[in-house]
Amino acid sequence: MKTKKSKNNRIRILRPKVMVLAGYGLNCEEETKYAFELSGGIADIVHINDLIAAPKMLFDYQILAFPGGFSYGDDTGSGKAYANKFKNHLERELKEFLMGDTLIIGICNGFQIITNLGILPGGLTYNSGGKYLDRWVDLKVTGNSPWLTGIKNITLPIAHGEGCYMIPKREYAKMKRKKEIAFTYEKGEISKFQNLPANPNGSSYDIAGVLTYNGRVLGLMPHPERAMFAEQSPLWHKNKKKMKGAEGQGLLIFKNAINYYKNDK
Amino acid sequence: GAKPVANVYGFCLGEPDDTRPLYRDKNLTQKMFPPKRIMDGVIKGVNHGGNTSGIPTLSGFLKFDDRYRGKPLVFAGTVGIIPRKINDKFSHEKSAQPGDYIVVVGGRVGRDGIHGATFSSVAMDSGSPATAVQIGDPITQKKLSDAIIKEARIMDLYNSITDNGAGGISCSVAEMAKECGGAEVHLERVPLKYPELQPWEIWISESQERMTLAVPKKKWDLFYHLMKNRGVEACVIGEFTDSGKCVVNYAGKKIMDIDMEFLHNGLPKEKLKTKPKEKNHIEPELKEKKNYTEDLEELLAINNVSGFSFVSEQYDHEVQASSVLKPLSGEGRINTDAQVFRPVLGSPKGAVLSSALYPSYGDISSHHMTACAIDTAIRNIISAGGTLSQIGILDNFCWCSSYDPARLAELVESVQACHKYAVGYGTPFISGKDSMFNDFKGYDESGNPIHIAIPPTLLISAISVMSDLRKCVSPEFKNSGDKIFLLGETHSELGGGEYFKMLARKEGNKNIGNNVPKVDVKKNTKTYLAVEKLIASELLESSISVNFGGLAMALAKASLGGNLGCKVSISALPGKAKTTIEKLFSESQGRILISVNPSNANKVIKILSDVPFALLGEVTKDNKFIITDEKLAVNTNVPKLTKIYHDFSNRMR
Repeated sequence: MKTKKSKNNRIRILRPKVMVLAGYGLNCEEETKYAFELSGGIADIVHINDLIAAPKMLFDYQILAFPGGFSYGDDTGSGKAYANKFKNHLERELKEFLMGDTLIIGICNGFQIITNLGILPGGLTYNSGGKYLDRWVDLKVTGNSPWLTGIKNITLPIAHGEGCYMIPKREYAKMKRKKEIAFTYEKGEISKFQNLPANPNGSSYDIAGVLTYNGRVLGLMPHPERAMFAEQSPLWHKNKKKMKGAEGQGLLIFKNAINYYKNDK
Repeated sequence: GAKPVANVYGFCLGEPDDTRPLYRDKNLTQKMFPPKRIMDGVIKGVNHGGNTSGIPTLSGFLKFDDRYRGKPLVFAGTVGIIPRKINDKFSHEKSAQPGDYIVVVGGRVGRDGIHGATFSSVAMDSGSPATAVQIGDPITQKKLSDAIIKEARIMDLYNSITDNGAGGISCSVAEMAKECGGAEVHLERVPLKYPELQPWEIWISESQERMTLAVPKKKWDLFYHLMKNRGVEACVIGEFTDSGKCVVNYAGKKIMDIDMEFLHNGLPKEKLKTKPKEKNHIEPELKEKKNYTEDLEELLAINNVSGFSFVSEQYDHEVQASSVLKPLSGEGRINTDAQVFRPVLGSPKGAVLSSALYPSYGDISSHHMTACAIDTAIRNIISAGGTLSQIGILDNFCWCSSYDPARLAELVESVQACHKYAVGYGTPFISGKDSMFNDFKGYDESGNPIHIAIPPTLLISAISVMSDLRKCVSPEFKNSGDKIFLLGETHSELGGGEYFKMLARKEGNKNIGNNVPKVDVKKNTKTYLAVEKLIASELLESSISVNFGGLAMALAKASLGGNLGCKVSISALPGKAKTTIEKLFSESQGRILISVNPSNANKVIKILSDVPFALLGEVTKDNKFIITDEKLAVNTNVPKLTKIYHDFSNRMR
């Protein structure tokens, strides 16, 4: 691994390593791996059973990603079974991993999993509309996190049945103060363009994603990896010429994670 | 061994507001579900199966006809991708070897799905088995599929693989045994969901999420441990042989011993009779009206034409990060006729999907119904940016009783037309499926016997490739000032179309006319090649295939999709259409509506040198939607059209 000391004594890593978890119905691991690699990282897809067989392998990585999917078919509540499996076998390793200068992201089902793991507050339940919903949303960045450096607003797709984020009022106030609300849904470009409500699922306080561990752990319902190419946006067909050569907005989140290790800060 | 990259669906249903009860038995104890309930159920089924499995559900349609209320049709399909060569061997070649273990992997066997295949091809009546429908479990499938495609395939752990579909292991084992010349199975080794299944039930059950593989003995250990580690059950149930026989044992007793030759070729061919029936419908009376605004608005509200975003948005079409031209497009979220996606991340190549069916044309001519379905599926692909020389199509025949000589004659006619038009366009049939006897025989609410046969239905699905998916074109208008062109000829071809069906429904008669659209392969090919060139040269702002409801509907969808008005004249269309009604609503094939930046208009006209076309007018900034013929024909506005287009969907949501 190529490393170099930075000014503030953090070790610079030119190509940080990302573990993207898989297995039991997670299904976004390939595109999540691709997004990290497009951003300059080295990403490996690791089946949870292989990690359980060799837990120390976790410490070869700087970034841990829980991708989207339908782990265990959501049959016992979204994310619960996978989180329990992880907790039963890997709790100690996870704690140790979190003590280092590491990053964790949980996207969609991954968000549900890490919420159930207990490393994020709150919980996720059925959309207020009662149905699975696939659409694009606009997000306002309200949190402070290495994942979100330089991003103010971002437009990403969602696809979920249980994306309604719930959190008690008092806890919300605390998180808001600590800048641990990563994003809120807002009426922006896409919602105006397609005349859709800002909040797609009834989440309290319009919360789309949350942070803990000084912003190093990010959980979010929208899928940044599904917005890594400009042509994935529904706005692209109308703005083809303007957007020529541009990359997707979602890629910024992955780049931020890679740059967190790569750049001299 | 292919990776699933897209799901497609199609539902042919009775009218959702139809509440007339139907019963399977004379005593009115076995009530059928009403169409709305069936619709909700199948939508949910594809939602559960598709979303859970991590495969984007991109392409689909809803088709409503009264005659689907007895037996609805539900189509669901998956597109897969496989490297041409894996470990230096052509990936499509597979061959079980004598001595290989017969291995079943995935789900366990239960009583669900016994007689599934036969059930789908017999008339539905009071004797229809309750266990015929399989119970799906997408997560078992996902684990299995991941383990095979992402690991076992590249590790070269099997010689042959077959899905357990119709007929369960009886079919998969027998098919694979053909590759090596025999098989011996021990049924008691098959993992069961619960005990006490009869051996014959184990042999034919269609319980889902199972595959049969031929695993060389020396690779079994590795294969077994890989599967175990991925949470997939794998079990040896016998051995492939070269004995020339298919032998089945149960608990030490031989219960089947059949020559392979007899097993595969033993069924004597049944002779069936055909007798074509003359079809003649009354032409509807057409009164000239002051304008056709109301007609257009009424037609746009019909559920065979209007949007169905309530279904599209329930299906994950973004997973695998591949979708580019989505099921819903533009500000107005119109349903697209073709979808474009990127099956391989990092490649600029796009795959294009579409489908088409015209069951109501079959009331007039099975031949032309077939021709139009093929033409529309191809045209939809071309409109989005696909390549004519790289289109593969597939057929789904859903027919009625094969013992009805008139119905069977329609099938023969349709099959012959498939051959003619596929050869004409050079688009090979790469696969297909059929289901006969889609008849319902039961009783109405007064206990009177009732027979409802579906309209013979041919679904054509198409897939194509485009070399650069960033060139794909969406259907909605983009900018005010863009010029609107109609390519292709418009004739007086309203027979069996949405407009005549609407009139017949309103009048309470069956006068659907006789002038069904006809396909001119030569002329249309020129148009399609020209559009291919226009798209490759990036000269189009929008492009929409003209289909159900004709030019009027294509204009309305392009307008409301882009939330932009238009001002067009239809006074000089190429073709034989004369009256305003014909020009607006005729469903003549081979037509594509495009919009072009004015600065590109001359270049476009040059490329269209051997294609009949008309410059209709332009896209406007205001929200007025105006069509004139000799006089003003339609005068409405985009917000109103948007509301109408989404009304059905909003009511069903």
